[in-house]
Amino acid sequence: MFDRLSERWRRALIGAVAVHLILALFIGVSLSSKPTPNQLAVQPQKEVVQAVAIDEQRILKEMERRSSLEQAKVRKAEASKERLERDAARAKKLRKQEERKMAALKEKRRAELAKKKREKALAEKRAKEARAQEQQRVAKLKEQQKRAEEERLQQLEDARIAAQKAAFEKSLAEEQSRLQQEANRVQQRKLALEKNRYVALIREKVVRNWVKPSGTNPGDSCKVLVHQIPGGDVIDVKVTACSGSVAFRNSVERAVFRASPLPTPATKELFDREIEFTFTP
Amino acid sequence: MIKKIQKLILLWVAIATVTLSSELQARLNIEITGGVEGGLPVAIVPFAWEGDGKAPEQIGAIVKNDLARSGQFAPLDSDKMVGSPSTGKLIDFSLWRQTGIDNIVVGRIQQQGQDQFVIQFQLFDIHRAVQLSGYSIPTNGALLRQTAHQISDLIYEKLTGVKGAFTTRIIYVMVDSAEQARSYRLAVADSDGFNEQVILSSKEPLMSPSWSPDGKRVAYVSFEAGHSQIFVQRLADGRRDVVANYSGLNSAPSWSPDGKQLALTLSKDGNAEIYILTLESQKLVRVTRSYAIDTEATWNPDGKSIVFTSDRNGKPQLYRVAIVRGAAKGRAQRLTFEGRYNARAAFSPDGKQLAMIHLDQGGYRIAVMELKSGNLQVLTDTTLDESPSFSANGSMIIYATELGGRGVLSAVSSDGRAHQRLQMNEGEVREPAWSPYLQ
Repeated sequence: MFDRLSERWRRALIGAVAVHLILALFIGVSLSSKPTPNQLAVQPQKEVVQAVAIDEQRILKEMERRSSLEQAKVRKAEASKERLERDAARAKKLRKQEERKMAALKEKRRAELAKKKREKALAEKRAKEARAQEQQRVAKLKEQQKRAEEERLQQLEDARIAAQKAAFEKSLAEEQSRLQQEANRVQQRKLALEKNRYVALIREKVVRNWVKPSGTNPGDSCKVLVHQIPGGDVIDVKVTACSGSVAFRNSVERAVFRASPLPTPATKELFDREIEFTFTP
Repeated sequence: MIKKIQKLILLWVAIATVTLSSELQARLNIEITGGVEGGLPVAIVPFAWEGDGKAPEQIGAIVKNDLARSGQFAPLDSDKMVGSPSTGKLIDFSLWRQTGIDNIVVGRIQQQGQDQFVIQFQLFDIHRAVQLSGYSIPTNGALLRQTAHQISDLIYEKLTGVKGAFTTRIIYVMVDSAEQARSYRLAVADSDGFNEQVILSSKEPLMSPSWSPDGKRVAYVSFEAGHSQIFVQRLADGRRDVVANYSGLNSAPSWSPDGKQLALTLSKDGNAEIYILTLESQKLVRVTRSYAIDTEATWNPDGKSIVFTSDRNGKPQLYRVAIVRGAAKGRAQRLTFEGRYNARAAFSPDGKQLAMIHLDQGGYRIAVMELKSGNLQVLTDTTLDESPSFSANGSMIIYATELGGRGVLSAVSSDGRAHQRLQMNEGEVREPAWSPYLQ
């Protein structure tokens, strides 16, 4: 990429130089085609040739005229001399002007060249600066990209580590919960066994104490709510639902009272102040 | 996906755990099945006597015997009692609880005058230590036993929920079969056989006494005129009237539930048939028409049918015929199919059961059939039982049987569990009938 960029720059540079050269040439040509101060100095000699014509009669006149002419001529020569001097002065002045103009032009060209040179140098400097800037920018960009990439990788790494950690913690938690549940299950099985035993003990004692009235209908059923206190002493028996006779109902209440104190459980958790009994003959 | 499954599993485990623990935490419900059938253990402490000299009656003992006879109670033996409280305040409940009783009855007899007494009694729940019943009943010497039976009724009803029938009476025929002085007596006694009163004596047979539904009259068969006649006698003043005196057999009277009619067996039209006699109008309606013997009619307490014994199929069996406006409607339906002899039916007061004499391998025994199911239960193990009759509350059946060659009265609880022979005077006793509730 850098190569390609520099290639482009080089081409632009060459183009710029070429344009400048062409421009300089053009300016030079237009300067040399301008009229020179020498050509301007010849023009007054052509006017002198036109005043040549002579006649006898006219000699005197002529002579006079000639003398006048001579005089004229002298005046004229003097005028011409004056004029020539004037012209020469003017030409000198012109030349000087021209010279000044040339010098100014030259100065201007030099200045332009210098300016161009300066500009070129400036442009080069700028180009250089731009290149440097570009390089800097690119470098910066590259740096940024590099940093971004590094950051991205870091983030990925962090995320990976975090995920790993989370997964580990999760599995740990799961394992702990599984162990807890297993422990609970064991405890519950134990409790269930104890409960079964407890229930069996109570049942046995109540059945042993249940004296049913004669002629109890096999379809009868009586539910009682028994209130006991720790130690198993029966405090109260309430019949909650009973389909049998009064005698049957009474026998059920009595059975619970007679079984008092009820057996107590091995585990306190199993003890409940209220127990429901369902009596069926 | 796997996470989801894991989540689901966790969720399930959580739910299962919660369910399990909630199951454990739920109120214990214990199913009780079995138990033994038996009498209710009750202590009837001998009633204290607060008067001059000796107590005129052992009230506690009368009550105790009543309750025991019913089969519903198992009274505590006297030697197992742990005290003799006469009022509730004197009961040591925890001590009595150890004797295994559920209820205790205490009481006292206070002499108020020459022949005036007040009997106080209290019934307690031994477990809850609360009084269930308590009365103070004034009485006199002649009514002491009656008052005791009244107390039995109150206790019985309180503890079983069924009205007691100890104050009812029984009627029966006593036979003195001595060669030279054969005599028949119609007697009425308390339900325990005491307080016997002879209401009629005759040299000729007396048979088939039957109580009117109000308990004020009895119908019976007497041969005093040399042939059978049916009488209705008022108990209050002994006035008696012949209500059936037809040619041939006049037998087996049975009162309709409204007391206005008698079902009878007459042979005036050839052989023994069932008739309905309206007492006031003397109008007679024939119920059965068969060439066989139809006899021993008994009214269903609802008045809508009559059950009788017939040998129309060769052997005596029970049949039922519907009665509409004093006349038979439709054909009689056979009720008994078990055994080759089923006779002398008696309805339970609720109309659901029939007591009868049933012949099985061992002999003629009292059996009870549930009409709805047709199930037959033999209650006795004696051999020559006859004349079963339900107590007014249906809990007992009185019947006559033979013991040592002579007729005696026995009672059996209607479940067949409690048997008791009634103490009677010398002589043979036959054909008992148990009164309805008496006002």
